[in-house]
Amino acid sequence: MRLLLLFLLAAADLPAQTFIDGRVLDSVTGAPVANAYIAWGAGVPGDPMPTTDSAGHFRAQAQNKQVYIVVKHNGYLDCQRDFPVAPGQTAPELRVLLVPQAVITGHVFDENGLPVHGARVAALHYRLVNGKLQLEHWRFGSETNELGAYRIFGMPAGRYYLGFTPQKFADWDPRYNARFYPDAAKAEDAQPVDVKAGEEIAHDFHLSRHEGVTVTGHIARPDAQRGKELSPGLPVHLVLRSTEYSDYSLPVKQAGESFTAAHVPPGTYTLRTWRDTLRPRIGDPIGDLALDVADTDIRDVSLEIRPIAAQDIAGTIVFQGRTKPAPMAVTLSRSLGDSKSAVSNDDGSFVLKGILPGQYHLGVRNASSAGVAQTDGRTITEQLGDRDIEAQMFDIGNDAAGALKITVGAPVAKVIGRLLDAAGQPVNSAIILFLSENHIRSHGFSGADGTFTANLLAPGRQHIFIVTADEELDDVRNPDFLKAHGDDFPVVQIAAGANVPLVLRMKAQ
Amino acid sequence: MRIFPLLLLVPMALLYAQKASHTLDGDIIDSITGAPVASARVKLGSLYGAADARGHFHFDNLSPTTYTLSVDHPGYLAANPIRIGAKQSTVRVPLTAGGIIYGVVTDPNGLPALAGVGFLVLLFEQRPIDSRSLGGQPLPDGKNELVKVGNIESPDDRGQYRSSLLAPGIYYVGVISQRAPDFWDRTWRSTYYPHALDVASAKAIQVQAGAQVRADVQLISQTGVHVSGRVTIPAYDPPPGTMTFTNVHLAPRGAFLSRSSGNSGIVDGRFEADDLLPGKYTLMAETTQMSADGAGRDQKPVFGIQREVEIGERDLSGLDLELQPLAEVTGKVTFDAGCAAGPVPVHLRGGGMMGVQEDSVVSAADGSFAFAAFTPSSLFISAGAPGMATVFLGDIDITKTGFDYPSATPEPLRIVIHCAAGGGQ
Repeated sequence: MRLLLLFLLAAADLPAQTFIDGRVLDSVTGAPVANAYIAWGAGVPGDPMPTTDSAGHFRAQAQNKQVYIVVKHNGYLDCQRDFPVAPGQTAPELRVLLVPQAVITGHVFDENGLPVHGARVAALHYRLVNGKLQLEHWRFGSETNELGAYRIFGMPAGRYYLGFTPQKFADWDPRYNARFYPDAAKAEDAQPVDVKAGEEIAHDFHLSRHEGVTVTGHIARPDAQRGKELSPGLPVHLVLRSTEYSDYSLPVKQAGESFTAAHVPPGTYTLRTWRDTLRPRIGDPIGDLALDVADTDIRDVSLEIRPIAAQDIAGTIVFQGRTKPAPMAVTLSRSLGDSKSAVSNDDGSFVLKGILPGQYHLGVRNASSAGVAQTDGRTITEQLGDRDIEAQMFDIGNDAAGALKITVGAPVAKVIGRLLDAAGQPVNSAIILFLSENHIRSHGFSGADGTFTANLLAPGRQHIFIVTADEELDDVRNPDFLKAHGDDFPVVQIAAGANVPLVLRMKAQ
Repeated sequence: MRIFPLLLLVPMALLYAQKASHTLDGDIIDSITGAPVASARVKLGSLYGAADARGHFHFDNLSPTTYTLSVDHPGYLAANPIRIGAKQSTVRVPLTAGGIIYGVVTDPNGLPALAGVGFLVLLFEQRPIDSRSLGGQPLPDGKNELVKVGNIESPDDRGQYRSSLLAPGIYYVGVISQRAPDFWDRTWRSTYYPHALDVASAKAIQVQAGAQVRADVQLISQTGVHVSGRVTIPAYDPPPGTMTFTNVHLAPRGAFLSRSSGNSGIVDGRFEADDLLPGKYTLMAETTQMSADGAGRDQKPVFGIQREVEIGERDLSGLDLELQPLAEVTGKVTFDAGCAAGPVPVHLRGGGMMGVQEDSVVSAADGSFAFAAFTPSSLFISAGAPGMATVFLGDIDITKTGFDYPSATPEPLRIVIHCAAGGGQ
């Protein structure tokens, strides 16, 4: 959406013969990066893209007073920049520091040392969500090939935890189940993997089998349906409820209306007759039951089947720093594309009607009176019932999901300033991150002369961090990053409205 | 009192003797070379084992019953489970080594394809044309077609891809970008191995069991032509709370990799599409009605048209389109003599501007069925189990070819159900 909006802006305002000159350098070594692509701001989208020469230089014609570019090169993190240029003039040389990617590779072997094919290895990292630590996937991970090899690339440097899920390999032997590197059942027992920018490290999994417990049960249907042939397409799934694995399920054997899951490790599960591929229809049979598994077998679970019913989900939007909230469009979108929307009332309340079971993502946007949504403000917290659902997919079953509570921040403070390196020279093309005491994030970009403007969602004490790649923008939710860089700059006190200009001087590396 | 313990002991001894006397010895061999396959995973019922370095495995203390034997080795194709009889004591399990196609995808500038921008590596297997299969791309020889197989791979951060566990056969490799051209260099074309725009110029890859074949692909850059035309839409007042929009789309006919135009909106009653390569296309236009709150709910096609156009080496203007109201797709199901008549599920599949769309209805007691107005595209109808039905439009069998919707002379479809699967013509 951001790309589209910028494209529309670009098409609306075309100064003649305005050029951008730039140089792309490796952020670690300072060496020029040749053959980097300069996408977007270099012309009409879809036109051939300029590349950097052997000295890392590029020249591109700007299409708009506000230029937006993405610098791409395999082996580096993408770098996006938007900055103003004066029509008809050549802008000062843009210096882009590309951050080398980190790569984690390795192999997965079974108990006998044979490669495991078709399993998945993912890198996870801790994030602060609603002020609480949560282990989340970094993108999608990698599937092992017939050599058992995996490769996770394009990562920002940092601390990760590797998670293994057997996928179809569990059909072969269900005693192989989800583990954390090197062979831990729980994330808190996992060994962290630290990887630096430009580094490629290898970590192999040597899996062991775990007996777990047995879960048996039967499908219990309403009296009216008893005696009829079981509806086809009503398989039972045992899905692990976990923020680390959004849709991981264990193999379940079914015979008629009985089911058995063997070698189930301890954990909290949902026993249910649907996956996210379900196309729910009101009235179709569905079963959905929470199940805590400890270290003893669970026998004769009754999975009650009920007709799918649509539910209305009420919610409230609270605006930080505003007494009168703007109308917001709230959308629950299924990964398969269906969506339901509502526009909030004057008091921030809204009701999403007719929500069917599935895996959803929440979207919140400003809604103009014409019904056209524009990006403004940003959600700070998103909760459904007692679940934190910010920036992730989440399940809604057939039971009442609870109320949605959304906190939205709108810019309330403006900070201008200048970013200088240790020698006092301006630093351009950097992201200046502000983190409030209650973990509200805001940021601005430095221009060619090191100046920046940041519109903050919250006043008060702010920690400041500098990063150079968009992939690192999220690092203010990473406790390890905060610990490592928390003292780079003194904490500043920001008032609502305008503030005294800041001069930020970076430490020598 | 003394007899009782003896009576108990006899069956236990028998049971013990039965268990002790049943064993299974197996050898796992490469189906091509005959060499032993070391270290394979072996499963006999719920018992797990592993072959040794000589490909041999052994189970003992087996009950006198039948078992299912499964064998798995990561470098070999999946083998069907084997039924082991109650008295069977030996078994030979042949496994076929999987082939591998691997390589590097480079862009038109000779650089490794950028990772994470939507390039996909597709693998097609050459197979004899199967009248019952849909979606195969016929090869110029008229005897074979290409069928997409295997996982879809994306080039990694080195531009590399690797497709493994391939059955021996003939394959083609194609690289596409799943992004719309506006999001990337529109002159970069989906390309077949090694450097071909169409399958006729592509190079087939012969894969033997266990062989590794390198197949580097360099994407082709080629500028296309500009296509434009006027669009006329019938006068229409959308119901309160709804709005309409119209899109035009040019989709290549019968080509897996050729790129479509993307959806072109209407400006001042005209549509325009850029950078299309020469070839046959289906020109589709659709007016869609949806909720006016921006959420896109309750979408339904209202007007539409589709026609075949041929695009040459030069820009093409004057492709004028007159959209027409979209009618229901109706028809009647009949049964071959001797078949049990009754309601059957009827399925409709079309490939319109929004990708593959499907709908299903159940025929009424008199055999009639009706689908609501559908998105303009080539529609395929099926009924009952696969291969059970022949579908006619007038006197023409359209079971495999489908039919263009909306058509100039809409008429009801006729579906004939045969009694046994495979009875389609």
